[in-house]
Formats: sequence, structure tokens, C-alpha cells
Amino acid sequence: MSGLKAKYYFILPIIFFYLFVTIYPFLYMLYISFFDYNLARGGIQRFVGIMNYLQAFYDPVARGSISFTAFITVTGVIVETLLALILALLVVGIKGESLLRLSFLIPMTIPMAVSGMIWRMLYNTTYGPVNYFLSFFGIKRISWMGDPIYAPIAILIMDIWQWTPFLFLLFYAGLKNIPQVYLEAAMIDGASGWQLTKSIRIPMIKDLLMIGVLLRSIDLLKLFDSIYMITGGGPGTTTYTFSYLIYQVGFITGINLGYASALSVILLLVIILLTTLLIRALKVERLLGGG
Amino acid sequence: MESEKKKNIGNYSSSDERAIFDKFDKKVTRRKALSVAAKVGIAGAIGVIVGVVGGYFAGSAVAPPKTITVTQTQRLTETVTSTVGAATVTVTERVTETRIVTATTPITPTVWKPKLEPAEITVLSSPDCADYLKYAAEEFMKIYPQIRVEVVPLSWEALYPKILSDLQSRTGVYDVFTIDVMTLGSVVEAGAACFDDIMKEHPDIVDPNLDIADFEPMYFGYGSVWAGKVYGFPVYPNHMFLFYRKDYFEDPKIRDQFKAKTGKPLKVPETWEECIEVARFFTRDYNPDSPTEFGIALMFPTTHTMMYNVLNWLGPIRQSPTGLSKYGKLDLYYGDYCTADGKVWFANEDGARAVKLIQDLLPYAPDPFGSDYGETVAQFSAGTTAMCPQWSVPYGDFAKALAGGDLMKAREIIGVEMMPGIIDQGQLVRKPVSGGWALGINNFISDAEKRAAFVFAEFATSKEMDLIHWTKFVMPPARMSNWERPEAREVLSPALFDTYAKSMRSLSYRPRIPQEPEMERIGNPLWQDIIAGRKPLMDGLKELANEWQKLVDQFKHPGR
Repeated sequence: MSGLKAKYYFILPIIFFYLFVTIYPFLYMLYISFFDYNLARGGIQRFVGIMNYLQAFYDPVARGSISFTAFITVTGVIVETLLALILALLVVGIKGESLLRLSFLIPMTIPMAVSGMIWRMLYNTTYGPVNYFLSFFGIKRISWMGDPIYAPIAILIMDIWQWTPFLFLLFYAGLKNIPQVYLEAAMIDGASGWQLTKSIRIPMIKDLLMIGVLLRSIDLLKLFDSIYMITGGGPGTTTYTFSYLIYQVGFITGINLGYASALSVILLLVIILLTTLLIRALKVERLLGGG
Repeated sequence: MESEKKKNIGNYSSSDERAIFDKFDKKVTRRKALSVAAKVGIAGAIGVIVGVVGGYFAGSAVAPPKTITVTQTQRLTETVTSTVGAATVTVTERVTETRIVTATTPITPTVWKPKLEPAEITVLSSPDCADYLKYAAEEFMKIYPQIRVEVVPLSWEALYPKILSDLQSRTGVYDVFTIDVMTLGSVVEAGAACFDDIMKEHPDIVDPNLDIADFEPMYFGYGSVWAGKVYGFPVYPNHMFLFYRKDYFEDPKIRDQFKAKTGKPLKVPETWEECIEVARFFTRDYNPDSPTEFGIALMFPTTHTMMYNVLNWLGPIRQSPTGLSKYGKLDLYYGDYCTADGKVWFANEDGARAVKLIQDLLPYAPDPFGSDYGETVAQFSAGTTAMCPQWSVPYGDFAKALAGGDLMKAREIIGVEMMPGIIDQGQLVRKPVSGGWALGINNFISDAEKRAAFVFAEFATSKEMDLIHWTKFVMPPARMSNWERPEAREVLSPALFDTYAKSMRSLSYRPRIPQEPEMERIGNPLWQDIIAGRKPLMDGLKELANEWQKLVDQFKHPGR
């Protein structure tokens, strides 16, 4: 047996495993997305063509979930990136750097189920510390989970708290790897702190910034766990993300697997499309092994 | 009382279940199950210490006769009502004497033990049934050591899809499962085993003491019978109550304040209009002297809670004399949201009335749209609210938080009453929403597993175990014979027990058609939008009714 042939034999089990756990379920999902398939009504009922896909465009809840997903993705990515960048720039080289670095990372290490519970308690209208703190400024109790204005903000705050550390870590690592010689040369030429940041530090970590934006965008497009833990999609359907809608339709009150599969296919296509566009716009193909 | 019961039963029209109710109704009236309260309690608070259930091994031929021993501390209380001038004064004089009463009630031992092959059965359970089912499993395995029973608790949200996917895929991972009453239709369609068929095929495993007629008929008919066939045995029935701060409601100072403010005597609200007035009085923003910050703990989240909670307001309107004449008799397949012929009825002034009653209560609740079960329990437990509509299970939490777990003290602090209702044609109509669980069996398991599963279901819902799950696990009895036991009344709170009995035959019902989950998906957020005023009332009700009607129309009624 030639060396090349042997290699194929060795990777064959992995390929089969991949086909079995990824490709087959995906194809099956694609298949049932064309059926009226509802577990609560006796499983597969009938072929409905693209009706499930069309329903997604007529369903006001689906449309609302797209708006909220877009809002949380755009706002979350912008705020988290800026905040992480500022923190990373501030922390590098200061006294107590390692302690600060460590403390910034804590939120990211807390399991979502735990942090969800923590934030649910923090946001509690009656006994929550957030409202207690705000009361010192004369702000009346806010129903963080029951008010359509504040519930999206509550989700956003929690996401920023939990995931800014991830971007911070990325940018911090990049900043630490900037060769000192560039900064020293610029300082000899009389560059100010702002000029160092604008012209050396940020350009030097640009690739990491782009990767960070890309990863957080993909994550936020799929946002589910904080919605599940904190607002349950409410009030009304204000904080339904697309992923949460799929969960509701397919697993909880809907158990409508046909429609949920169609929604999943749509989400997958949207993520593929958006990430492709982002990769092109951010010019990060090189980093991902392309172009 | 009996004629009232008959009248209530007469509201249900589903053809097949109808026959079952008729049959059981005779039995209930004969037993006078609901008169327990009158027999046992006379105006006084009777304390309970322990319901010790000793040495029970049902089914074992060698087991000694079983007894339930109840030791209770009895306090005699006398209520004297006298008239002083124009005012009626109620004085409660307490503790004439305290004594320990010990009563022994024999339980007929079951000398029946069918032959079962070795098998392993897995029981998928809702969280509230899990502790009891684990206990039942342990006891069962003592009698049948060749059978291994494993109980897997799952949250409500995860449980239902898990049961359905297991049944649909016919994998037979779970042998026994708890069925939430309104999910019966979909579980049956997915492939739950028919108990009638099992009993026909395996007559040797039918316990001679099974006594199906002893199951509380409404719950049995609603939660276990589908298209005239039995698909489960009731584990426990449940419905919602109005918990209130008895100590505040009986405090002479607070009562005087209420009278001064409203000109009326303070009483536990019987109607939602009265509830609004009382809730306002107990809300500090409207009454700085209120002992509580808010009047009532309300929950209108976008979860499963919404589907049942709204019925506490809609149910009385639907089942009032006017409602029955307009919308016809109640059909248990469709429940209170629909007319007798399956039309969603509430997009009109009656539905709007129910929503307005809810809306008028909202200012007196801490966070009605951000609160769910856990939050409202916490609000009442912490003394933040004076009232709390809830299921029975949190009573233990309330007693722990407000009385340090002292059940005697809890009786003085925590009051329990039927959910308020409405007055219609001079009649008070109260219809708290019903709930509860039955034990079902997977049809796609081996014969040995099915036999073991059935015997376990019989065992866990037997008369003796039914009493144990009340005495040890605060899950109310599903057996009428246990509602007649004085010791059952004394276990936790006689008020809770009496209110159970009182409202047992006066309930509102969710639809139990297979389309129910989809109704929830659409309805839960929409109801909140309507109640919160984010959607114009009538437009919102019409939108919801239209969406639901499309789903209800898909249902093929087995009786038609």
C-alpha cells in the first residue's frame, strides 16, 4: 500500500464520522424543511414544498426576530470591539497589568447558565441590585425583563459584560506582540501617545481586530443562551433572536420541526452570506488561508 | 352541594368523556367527597404535626397490615360575633386547650403481586413529580427486585419534546412518562400506549384493587382519557389558588384602615373587582400605611405560564350562566378558550372584559410582565405582596419563608382561598385553572417492559401511594377515597385541603388538542402584547382568535 493510499485509509473513519454527525443531519434537516412535520401532530404529515420558507417571510414574529438579531449584532459588535480595544490599550504596560488582565477575563470563564442566573437576579425588578443602585439617582424601578425598551438593553449589557473580555484578550495579545523597536523608533521621532496608538498600535493589530469582529458577528447572529436565561424572548417577542425563534418553534411550544428546519436553513444561509461579505469587506481572506 | 356538583358536570359535552363523568358523578355524590371539610373542621384551626406512614409494602403477600398514624396537636378556637352599636365585631378567642390526638387508620394491604419478567424501566418525570416517583420507584423495587426503575427528572420545557420525539422515533428509551394534562392529545397521537389494550392483553397484571372509578373523575376524564380510551392514570390533580396574608387580613388595625378608606369590611376577595380594590389597598404607592409594598404578585410572562394563567380570568366568564348560554357547554377537547363547537370565542366584549380585569390589577403588582412562577413565589415569600395567585406546590416555600417552616404558625400567616371570579346573573362564578399530571406508557417497548411499566403505573397511583404523595410530597390525592380521609386534611393545611376540595369541580380548562403547543407559541407573546396594551385590545384579541382558529380547525374531534 502506498503512503498516500494509507493516509486516505487513516482519515476515512473521520470522514465517515463527519458525514454521519454533520452532513446526514443537515441533509435530513433540509429534507424535512419541505414537509409539514410536527411532533405534536403525529410527525410527518405531508409535502408542502417551500411553504415553510415562505411562512418565515410572512411570520411577523420571524420578521421581528430578524430585526432584533440585527440590532444586537451591530450594536454588540461595535460596543464590544471599541470597549475591548480601549481596555487593551489602557492595560498594556501599566502597573498591576497581570492582575487587571486576569480580572477582566473572569466574566468570559463563567458558564452561561450561571451568568444567566446572576444577571436574572441582578435585573430583578423588586430585589435586584441594579434597580437598588439606580434608586440612588432617583431612577424609579425598571422592569428589565418586562419592558420592551429595557429588555433589549438588558441583553446587550449582559453580552457586553461577558464577551468584551474575549476581544480584550485578542487585542491585548496583539498589542503585547508589537515589536518594541517600532514604538521606540517612533518615540525618538517625537510621536505622541495618540500618534503611537493611531499609527502603530492599531494598524499592527488590525488583523486581529478584523478576526474579532468576524467571530463576534457570527456569535451574535446565533445568540440564544442569554435570551433563554434572562428574558425568554419577552416581553412579547421583543427579544426573540432568530435562534431563539427556532428553538421555540422546534422544541418548546411549537414542536414544528418542518418550519424550524426551514428557519434553520435560512439562518445558515444568512450566516454564510454575511460572513462571506464580512470577510471580503474586512479583507481577512489572507488570515483565513484564502486569497 | 350535590346539585351544584351535578350542575357543573352538566357543563361538559364531549360525548365519550361525558359517559365517564356521568358514571363517576354518581359515585362522587354518593361518597360526598367534598363534604370532608364540613365533617372535620369546625371553625377552628386544627394543627398537624406528622403524617407518618409506616411499613408500607403494597402488593407483598407477606406484608403485615398497614396503618397510617397521624399525630396531631389540636387547638380549639372559638369565634364569637357580636354587635356593638352599628358595627359587627368578630372576636377570635384562642386556645381553649392543646392536646395531642393520635389516630390510626388501617389501610387494606394489597395481597396481589403479579409475575413479572426481569426488566429495566425508565421513568421520565416532570420536576414536581420526580421526588415522589423516585420514592415510589424505591418502594416498587423492594416488592419487585427483578425490576429496575430509574426516574429521570426533566424541566417542563425539555420533558414534553423529549416524550414526543421518543414516541415518534419509536426508540423506546423511556418506558413511563408523566403527561401534563393539556398535552394528552399530542402524546396519544405520538404513540402512547392505550391502557385499555394493555389490560385486555395482560389481564394478569390488572390489580384487583385498581378501582379506576376511585380516580377523581374530572381529572381522570380530562388528563387520562382520550377518545373514550384510557391512556394514563392520574398521579396528582392540581389547580391554582389565591394565597393571601391571613395575618394582615385579620389584623384589626388593618381592617379598620380598609374600612375607613373604602367604607367596606376587608375580606378575602371573591371577585376580581374586589381583588382590584384590595390589591390597591395593599400597595404602598396608593396607601402609604400598607404593610406590603404591593397588593398582588402577578405573572404574565411570554412563557407557558401565560397559557394557563389567563384562564383564571377568562374561565369564569366562559362558564358563567351568560357565557354558557352564549358559547355553549364546555368541550374538554377545546377547553375554555373555545365554544362547544370549537370556535375561539374571546374576540368580543366578554374577552375584553377579562383583559380589562387583568389590566386593572397590573398597577398593584411588582413586575407582572417580568415575573414568572419563581419570581411571584419569591415576592409573596418575601412579604412584598399581600396576595399571590399560585399552584399548591409553593405552599411549602411560603411556610418556610414566612413562618420558618413551622406549619402551625404558617396556618396563622398564610391564607388560602379559591381564585376570585365574577358575578353573573347574581351568581358568583369562580373557575381557577386546572392542571395536574398522569402517568403514561410508551407503546414502543418490549412486552416485559410494558408489563413492568404498567404495574409500576398502577403501584404509583394506587390508593395507598396516592395518600403518601400528599402526606410526604404535598402532591394532592388523585383518589376520591383519600379526599375522605380526615388525616389527609390535617397533614399540611386544612385550608389548602378544603380549598382544593371546594374548587375541584369548578375549574377552567386549557385545550388539550394536539395543536395546543402551537397555540402556545402564538398565544403566549400575543397575550402579553394585548395585556400590556402594546396592541389595541380588540385588534389584538381578533388577531389572536384568528390565528388560533386556524389551528383549532385542523383538529378532528374524535366525538364527531
